[in-house]
Amino acid sequence: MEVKINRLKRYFGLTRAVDDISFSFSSGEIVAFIGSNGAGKTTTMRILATLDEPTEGDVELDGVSAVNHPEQVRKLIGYMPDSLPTHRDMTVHEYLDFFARAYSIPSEKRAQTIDDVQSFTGLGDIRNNTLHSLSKGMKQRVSLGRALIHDPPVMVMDEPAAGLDPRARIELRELLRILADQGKAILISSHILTELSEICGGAVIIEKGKIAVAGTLDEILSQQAPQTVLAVRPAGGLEEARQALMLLPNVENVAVVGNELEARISGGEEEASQILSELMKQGIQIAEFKRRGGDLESLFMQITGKEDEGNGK
Amino acid sequence: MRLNALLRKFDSRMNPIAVKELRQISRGKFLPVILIGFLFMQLLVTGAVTFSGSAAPGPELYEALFVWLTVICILLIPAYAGFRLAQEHSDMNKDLLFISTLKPVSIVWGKTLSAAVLVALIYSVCMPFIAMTYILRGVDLLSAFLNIVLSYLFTLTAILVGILIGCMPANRFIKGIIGLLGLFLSFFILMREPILPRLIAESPANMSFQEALEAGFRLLWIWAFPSIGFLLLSAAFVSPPSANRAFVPRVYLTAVWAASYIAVFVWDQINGDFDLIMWWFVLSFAGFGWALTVSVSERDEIGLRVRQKIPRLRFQRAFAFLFYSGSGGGFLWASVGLVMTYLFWSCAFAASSGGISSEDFLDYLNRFGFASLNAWNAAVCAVFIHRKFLRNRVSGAYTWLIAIGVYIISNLLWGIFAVDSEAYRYFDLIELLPGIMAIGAAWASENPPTAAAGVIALILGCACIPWIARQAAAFKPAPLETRGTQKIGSA
Repeated sequence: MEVKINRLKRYFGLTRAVDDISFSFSSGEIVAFIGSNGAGKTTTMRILATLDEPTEGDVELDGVSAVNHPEQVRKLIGYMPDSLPTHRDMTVHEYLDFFARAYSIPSEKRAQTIDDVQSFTGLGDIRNNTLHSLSKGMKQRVSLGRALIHDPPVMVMDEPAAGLDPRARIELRELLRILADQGKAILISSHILTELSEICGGAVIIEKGKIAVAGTLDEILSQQAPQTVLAVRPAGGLEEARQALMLLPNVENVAVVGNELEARISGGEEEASQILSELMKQGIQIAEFKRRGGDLESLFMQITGKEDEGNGK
Repeated sequence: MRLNALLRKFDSRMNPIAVKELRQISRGKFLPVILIGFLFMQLLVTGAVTFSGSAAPGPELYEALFVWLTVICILLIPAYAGFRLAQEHSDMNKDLLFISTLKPVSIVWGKTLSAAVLVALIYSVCMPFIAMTYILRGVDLLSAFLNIVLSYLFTLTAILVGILIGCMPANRFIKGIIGLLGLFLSFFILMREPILPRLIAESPANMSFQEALEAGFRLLWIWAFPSIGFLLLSAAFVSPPSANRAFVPRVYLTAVWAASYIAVFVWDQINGDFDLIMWWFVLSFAGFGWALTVSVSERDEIGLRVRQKIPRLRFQRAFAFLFYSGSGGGFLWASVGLVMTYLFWSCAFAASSGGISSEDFLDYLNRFGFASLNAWNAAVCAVFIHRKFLRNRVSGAYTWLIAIGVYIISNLLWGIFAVDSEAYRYFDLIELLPGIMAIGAAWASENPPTAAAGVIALILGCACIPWIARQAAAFKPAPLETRGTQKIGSA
């Protein structure tokens, strides 16, 4: 299953919520959809889920257009919105049962399907609780269960980790890994970027409705981070090592972080190895020397920072 | 085993929306509150009538209970059903049930069904008290039964109206106003329609076969056809915007319009009764008048999905342009329908032996013609206002609100500048039926400036030719575009 987003635009009056974005992802991939509040993530996801229509452009799932054939696309997509299920006077089981019926799951399979989803999402013990009595984390699980009820090949998840406690986040991460291993194509948005970088293979960073960066995590981190961060733990004096580092070529900045030195250098592996040998030559004892990869958080800050500078902020 | 299989089959076929709604209703507070409220109300009414020392307590109690039951059910349950749907189907907060694989008709039908069950529950609470009126004498069972069936049927129609208003693209305030207006008009339709008060007041057992046939025909007209129409319209509103959603309502309206004309024409020829033709004329005028405003709210550019269904033959394509989704075609369809209504009505008048007088015919023609031209002009003006000035600010789906605004303002302007205020008068209720579209007719003087409205219509008609021509030219299948996308890498 390949999901293609083709030159998607969504304008609300004069506001360009989504402004000509294109990217694609396939089965088994988890793609992070990152952006500040109001960047256009939710609008894009709502269009993907056929809840909204684009002003221009289209979304295709294996060639099936979400604009022209939303009914077919609905069978293929499981959408988990950022809002939680608030249906009053409904139990968890009734809620899932309703959506199982709505997706035309026959009665002989329905009970088993609901049981499977409840056990996968850990809802078995609270199946008879009403929705409004649930905690936020449990509601997120119900929402995930609802999105999975018709076993869609594509999952679109808008802020699924928002408001979850650390344990629930870890569990969600595991669930997502399992879903990706099952071959589902997953587009996920979240503000918790460290978590996304642990599970996502690709990322799309969107800013003011336009794509700022898109690609595999390795690609975009190497492309967008001309600086390399080195973590150096000297065996001897921290200050002595810091002074030595500061004087070396390609070293732009050195900061003390705990018992380590964090050095930002221009260049990559070659420059890093030169720095190490220079330090050794100067007789600085090194207990630990490692190159830190760029991370989504700093990349995101870098991109959104550029945007702000561009706007004269 | 066989019973289990049968139950499973039944379970599979149950409407998911009805199941969900009934579960929520049975768990919520609304149902017990309303049932207990009804019980108390009936106890009070029964006590008041029984101890009033009335000479005929049976009919008096029956009438009191029946009126309370009908009025509350027609008011409360449709408002409840419409409110629930409006909450789930607002523009910015659509419930996820609308992105399941449920068909739009199933959604609307499920909502209707659950509300109908709720009404049936309320009726069942009333039954012991209604039965008591029979014990008190003076009430015949057949009439009581028939009245309750009729009242139930009209409550169903009111529910469908409530659901239709709930699906409309408008905010809650406007939906509320439309609901009140609909209620007001429904009340006048029911009061104007002689068959209902007669059925309530007299025993249907005393009706002749011809009277029963006429009653059945009128019921079909004022209950069945509009109810199906409301259901189809609601389903169209719930359908995805890219779907050919105008097609079914337009075909249905045209078919009902044509078939009912034939029926009333034949009826008039046999019985010399022009009254039904007048009903047909007024309702057709109202239907196409509203269709004008609704059609301009559709899209100017049709999507690939509609274009894929456009017939290749030119003649068929011309018909398809009128009936398929799209503002230009829809506007043309409603305009043609309106003109044909006047034409057929005139033919029926010429062929009728027991029709209205020539003076009355011309008077109706003049006033309704004036109102139709005003409605037409307002719709065209709304298109220009929206497409020229508000395209980027307001969704095209709201053009109908602009049309209504223009219509009301234009009528006020006619009243101030062009109509002799001394001659203003309210006309009889038949002219109020078409709702907003008849405001012009109701307010017009005995000599409305129809010619002036016609001249304006001619000018506006010329101005909107390019708008329709552009859409007609684009009304053909288009090839799929291929566009490049950036592939995101591995997991």
